[in-house]
Parts: sequence; C-alpha cells; structure tokens
Amino acid sequence: MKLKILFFCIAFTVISCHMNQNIVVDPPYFKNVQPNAKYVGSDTCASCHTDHAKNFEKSAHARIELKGVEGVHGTTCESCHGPGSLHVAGGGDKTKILTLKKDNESCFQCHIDQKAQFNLQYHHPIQEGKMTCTSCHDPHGPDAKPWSAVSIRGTNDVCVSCHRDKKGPFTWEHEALSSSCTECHNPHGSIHPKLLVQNDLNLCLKCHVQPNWPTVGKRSHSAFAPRGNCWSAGCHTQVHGSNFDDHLRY
Amino acid sequence: MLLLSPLLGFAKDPVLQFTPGFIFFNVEKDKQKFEEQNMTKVSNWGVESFQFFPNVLGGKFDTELQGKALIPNKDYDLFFNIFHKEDKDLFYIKNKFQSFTKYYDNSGGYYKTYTTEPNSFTLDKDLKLFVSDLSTKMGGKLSETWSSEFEYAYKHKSGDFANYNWANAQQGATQRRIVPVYTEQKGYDLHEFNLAFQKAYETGKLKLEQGFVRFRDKTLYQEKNQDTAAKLQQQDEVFKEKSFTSTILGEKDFISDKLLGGFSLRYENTYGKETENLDTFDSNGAGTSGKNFIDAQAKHTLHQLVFSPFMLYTLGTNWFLNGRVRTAYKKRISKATYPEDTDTPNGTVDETFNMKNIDFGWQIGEQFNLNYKGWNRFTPYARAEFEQNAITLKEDQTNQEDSTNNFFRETDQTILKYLMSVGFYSYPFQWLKVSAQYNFKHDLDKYKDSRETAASSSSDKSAFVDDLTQLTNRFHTNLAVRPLSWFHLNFRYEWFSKKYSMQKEGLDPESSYFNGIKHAYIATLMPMNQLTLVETLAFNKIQTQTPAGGNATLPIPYFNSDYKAVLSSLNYDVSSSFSFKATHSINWSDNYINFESQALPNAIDQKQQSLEVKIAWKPSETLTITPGYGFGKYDIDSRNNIDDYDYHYGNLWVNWIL
Repeated sequence: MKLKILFFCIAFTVISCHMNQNIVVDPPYFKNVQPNAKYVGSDTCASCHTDHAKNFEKSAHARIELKGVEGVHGTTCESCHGPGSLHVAGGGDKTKILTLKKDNESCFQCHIDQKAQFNLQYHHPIQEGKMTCTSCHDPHGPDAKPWSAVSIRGTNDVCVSCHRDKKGPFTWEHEALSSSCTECHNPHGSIHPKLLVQNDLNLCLKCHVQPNWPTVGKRSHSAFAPRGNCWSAGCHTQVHGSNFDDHLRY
Repeated sequence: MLLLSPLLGFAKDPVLQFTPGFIFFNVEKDKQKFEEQNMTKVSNWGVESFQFFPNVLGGKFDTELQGKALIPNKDYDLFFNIFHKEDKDLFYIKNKFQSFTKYYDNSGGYYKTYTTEPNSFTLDKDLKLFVSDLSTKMGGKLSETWSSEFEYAYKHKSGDFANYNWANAQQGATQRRIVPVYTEQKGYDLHEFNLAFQKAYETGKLKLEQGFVRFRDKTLYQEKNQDTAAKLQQQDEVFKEKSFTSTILGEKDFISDKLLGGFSLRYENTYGKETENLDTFDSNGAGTSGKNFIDAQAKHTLHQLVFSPFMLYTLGTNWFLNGRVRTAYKKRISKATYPEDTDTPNGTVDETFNMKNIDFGWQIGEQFNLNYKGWNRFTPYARAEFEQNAITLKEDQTNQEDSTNNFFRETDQTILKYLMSVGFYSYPFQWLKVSAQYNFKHDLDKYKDSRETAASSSSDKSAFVDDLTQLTNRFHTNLAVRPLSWFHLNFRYEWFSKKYSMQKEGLDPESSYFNGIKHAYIATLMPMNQLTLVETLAFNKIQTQTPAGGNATLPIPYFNSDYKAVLSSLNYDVSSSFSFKATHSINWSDNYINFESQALPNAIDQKQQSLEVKIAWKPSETLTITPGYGFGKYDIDSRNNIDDYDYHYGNLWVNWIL
C-alpha cells in the first residue's frame, strides 16, 4: 500500500512538473475534426443562435458554463460543438462546427460509459447511424433526460415515438411503465436481448416478491418458475399492458 | 485522420460527392446471430454516402441533397432540403427518408444444460423487420412577427421479429418454455401531422400547435410447441388509434431580463381500438381446447390536460433559480369484451367477459434548479423535484355466463415522489475538469381499495400491492485531465443503490435491493500530431437481491452480473494523402448460474470481439480510396455455443468529388 502511495506521489510530481498552462483539457476529439479552430465564447454563438441561447439557460447543461473561463477554453456551447472560430468566419458554415445531429462522439466525451454500452451486442443503432443521441435527448432543452416530473410530454414519449405499440392505453396497465421503460430496459445497450437490464425472474420479483413466495398474489408459482421467466414462460406475455387480461396474459 | 473523419455537414459550394463500394463478410457458424448483432447481411453494397448541391432552383433558393443507398440491407437515407438563400428561417422545406432492416436470432431460449438437440430450437425461418421513416417539414415567416411550420411524419414496420416469450419443450421430466417464437408484423403504420404558428414579441413569444396522430398496428403471433402435446397458437391483433393534441406555449421576459416566465398548455384526446382472435391447434391443424378468443374487442378514450408554467430568475449577480411546475388531469375509459370458446373449438362463444375500467386523477410536479456562479471556475448546484399524484381506478368485470367470475373494485392510488440532487462542475486548472453529483430519490406508491367485490377469494386481480416504496441513492463523478500535451484522460465512476419495499395487502412488507457500480475510462495519447491512440475501458456490475434468494421452497439465486469492455483505436496520418486506422473492441462477461431445478439460468458467459483496419489513400484532390479488412467473433458458452459466429470481411469504398 505504501509503495502504491509512493508511486502515486512520484507520478503526480512528475506530471505536475510537466504541467504547461497552455495545455487545455478539452476533448482531443475536437482537434481531429477542427484542427485549426479557436474558441470564440458563448456570447458570439448567442448573437446568431438566439433561441438556443435563451432555452439553454433552462437546461441542465447550463451548469457547465463556468465563470472565469468564458470564451477561452470551451465552456457551454463549445464544450460540445468544439471551437467555433472557423464556423463564425465561414458565416455559419456547418462543415466547420460539430453538429450533434450527425456525431455522437462529443456526447461520449463526458458520457463515456454510454459509449461502451453502445458497443455491447444489443444496443440502439447509434453506431450504425440510424439514430443519434439527440433522437432521444434534447441537450439544449430543459429536459436533457427525456422526462422529469415537470415535462410537458409523457413519461415514455421518447420511447413510444418509435415503439408506439407499447404506449397503450390498455384496459389493464402495468404500473411499472408509469415509472419508466428504464425500470426493465437499458436503452443504451445490454448484454441481454431486448435491452433488458437482467435476464431472470429477479427482474420482476424486486417489485413483486412477497413473504410467502413462491406465491405471488394469491397463486403459488412453484410450478411455473421452472418453465421460465415471467415474460418468457408463456404466461405474462403482455408485460407492457393487456386489453383482455388483468394478469397481463393475452 | 482527416481523410477518415466523418462528414460534418453539407459542404458549402455546389458539388457532387458520392462514395460507392461494397462490404463482404465470410461468416462461419450462426449467420442469423451475426446478422442480428451486426445489423447487416453478409454482403452489402451500394453508395455509402452522397451529397449533391444542385443549384437547380436558382434565384433566391438553395437546395441540398444528401443520403446513402446500401441495397441488400435496404439501408437508405435521403435528405432533401430547400431553403431561402439569405435567411433559412424565411422559407424552408426539409424532407427526410430513412430505412433499414433489423435481423433477429431464431433460436429461442436454449441453455447449455439442456438435453434437447439445439436443432429443435431453430425456427426454419429467417426473421427480419423492415423499418422506414419518412418526414417532411415546411415553414417560414408569414410576416415580421408571425411564422408557421407544418410537419408530416410516417413510420412503417413490416416483416417478422423474434419474441422473448417462448413455446413449450420437454426437458426430461420438466416442461419448459424455451422454444423460439415469432410475430409476423403485418403492418405498423404511424402517421403524425403537426401544424404550428408562432408570434414573436420584443420580449417573448407565443406558439400554437395542433397535432394529429393516426396509428394502425396489425400482428400475427405464431407459437409452436415442441413437447409431446405439440400445439400451434396464433394470436391475431389489430390495433387502431387516433390522437389529437392541442398545445399553447408562451414565454416573456420581465424585469429587464431578470425574470423569464412562461407556460405551456396541452390537451390530448386519444381513441384506441383493438380486436383480437386467439386460436390453438394440434399438430394436425385441428382446433384444441384452451384459450380461444373470438373477436375480442377493446375500446379506449383518453383525455389529458397538462398545464406547465415555468420561470427562470436571476436572484442576484450570481444566483440563478429555475423553477417549473406541471399540473395534469387525466381520465381514461377502457371497455373490453372478451368472448371465449372454452370447449373443443366449434366457433361458438361459451363465455364472455365484459370489462370497464376507468381511471382519473391529478398529477402535480414541481422542479427547482439553483446554480451559483459567484466563484471562478467552480459552479455548485442543487436540484429538487417533487411529484404528487392522486388517481382513482375503477375496475368492473362481469362474466355473462358465470357470475362467480364477476369482479368489482375501486382503488385510490397516491403516488408521492421527491428527488434531491447536489453537485458541482469545476475547471480548477486548464488541464483539469471535474464534476460530481449525488442524488437521493424517494418514490412511494400507495393503493387503497375503497370497494372490492370478488366472488373468488383465491385469485388476485391487478394491483394487489398495498404499498411500494423505492429509495435510490446515486453518486457519480467525472474527471478529465490532460497532464501532458499528448495525454488526455477521462474517467467516470458511478455507484447506485436502490431499495424496493413492497407490501402486499394482508402481509408484511418485503425488501429487495438493486445495486450497481460503473467505471469507464478514456485515455487519449497523441505522441505526434499525426498519431492518435484512444483506449476506452468500461466495467459495469449490477446485483439484484430479493427475499426469494433465501426461500426454502423455491430459492431464486441473486442476479449478479457484470461485463467488461475495452475499445481501442489508432489513427495515423502518414501523409496528407495517406491515413491508417485500426480499431479493436472486446467485451466479455462470465456470470452464468445454472439453477435449472428452480428456474431458467441467469446471466451469461460470453465474449465478443472485433478488429478492423482500414486505410484511406487520396491519389488526387477529388478521389479517396478506402479499403478495409476486419475480423470478429462471438462466443456464448452459456448457450452451449449454438449462437457462436466468426467472421472476416473486406470492404472497399471510393469517394469521388465532381
């Protein structure tokens, strides 16, 4: 342990000695796509993109605007879109700025765990170019996450815009959906089919287990569990909601 | 690197640019699994991208055309835009078409401990679903202050997809549901129309929107058992929906831009109808008793009114307060008729259930965000969110032939939620950025049955839960450091713990836990201007513990699963006309637990990896040739390797600028 601490201290000292105040921490990715651009600051962006600038103040991402470094090292707009000098010089030339509608790498610079999830075997087709992060998330808007308690739209509207058949209304609804689709699915990527968070009975049991398990409700499930998972064993096949069965069976 | 960089957007000058080529995979073993996971057929060719800027309209308008066309995968993109040359907001038309094919594995729920031949688990059918999306948007300025926009979008799906509910197979003495099942998607057609008008004021704006949605979904579910009582089950469903949505949004600046206030008001009115037939047959095609529905029907009406005011207030020089409120009233009425042919099928209805479920109630949500920007390079923030719901659910079910199946209940549901977050963003040095956030979330769902009449006490109906409480603690931190000009490191750590406490009516509460941690790192090395190496590592672990794990009668082991992932890439610009790129990806997990006497096994043992190398050679300013080679494999030991595949591929894309 002492050796580890010693190693860390030496490494930190060596690194500190090599610190160069001209080095900025901005994602190296920017250099690759905009090698000669410089930062211009958010006020310059706001002079043309007035609507975005105004809405952005309501966004969770507005927190990343830091006093003392404005317009120098890429806070706010240029944190995600990269340095904008060439874009400005080109009269708003779209080829000279990162646009998140085409490119997700900028998002992955902070949300790096999501980058790995999109590389798992089951994932939404971000890498294949069929979607982008902005298909579900509004980075400028008040709800960067698709839903909160004050969103004007519904809990799962982002999901059901493509999976409308899961929206309902259903005669018998599954309460879990009123929380979120993400109770059971990981929308970015999973090692399990259908983007499920996990592939076993515990997925359902964490809400439905009761002291006299294997009884659920008033019925023993000891004969059913060996057949398979609640949704795969041919019983509760309509897990999103059923129009004809209160146990979500048909 | 520059040659291999993605296209960032439309080029500015009139130009024709296109990239024809092909990719060919040599796949061994499970081709269907390969297609599912890689979203491609074994050969694919066409034009990977094209851009065309014909100034055909001349005068005041510019046009843009961009897209791709990969024929075997039906992978098409087309963007065609027309806009006013001087001001794009003055007039624009944006058209988009996108389509692709999704492929599905056809081998169901086979696990390595099972004795049945894997061949029995393969549908004799390639499962693929064609997905397409068309939209057009046109708008412009009607006057100095008024503008309008009309949008139409159409989504379509057709084909066959694999289900994650499976059919019967006999495994020794145990009957299991593990045989693959599929659904024929006969048509998924979603039409959306939206018309909006906006008026801009000096200090605000007003927006009016009217939307209409028409949706039709027609499916045929096909299930074929492979046990001794071989049966075929077909479920034919048609769902239709119409939805109207009216929205008014307004916002205004007050007190010299210190206060931005606004509201949105949204009214949604939805009508839905589903018809369903369910038929079961034996292996000779003769009807068998079981579940046979004849023209079951369900109708729904949903009314929802949402009012959401917000304000953004600059409290002082450095304090920013953002507050939003949402109030919503919702009422749903669902009526369903469920006629059943209960004996040997003869087309005669033996029993009919009539159901009428109504729920209505209020939801109120409040959110406050507070940022302090008084310190240089450090912004702390806090967020609080509250939600209160009061919903009444009435459930009435009558059976025309057998009154013992009648059921009536009225439930008052109360949902209370709150979320508290604190965190900061900081840029203490030019070479270091750091952020952290902690949040605590408390969700309580209470159900109180104010009236309940059930002729049979042995069978629960829906919502048998009295209380469900969910407590979540979550912490995450991000750190980006660039200690040397050629070295950049990103690190993210996340920990969460969620406790579920459920109380069934008449029983003591039980608690379950869902915990997890994530680490992710991206290290970027740039030892030379022309050379970039990126290494991404990720570790993700979750655990679900339920009281069923310690049950004496039927213990269900805890779910413990993790995966590790490593992504590596190297870019080298050898010269201005020659680049090299290599990427390697691997992820693996080894958490499979077999407890087949109690349930299906959980978690998996698998490893997936791929390697790709490509070069970009630019013999002239207008021509870039990009050949590539790749290799990949997938091993899944927990399914006795029936889904394994190996592949090699070669591709060649040629980019021309004319």
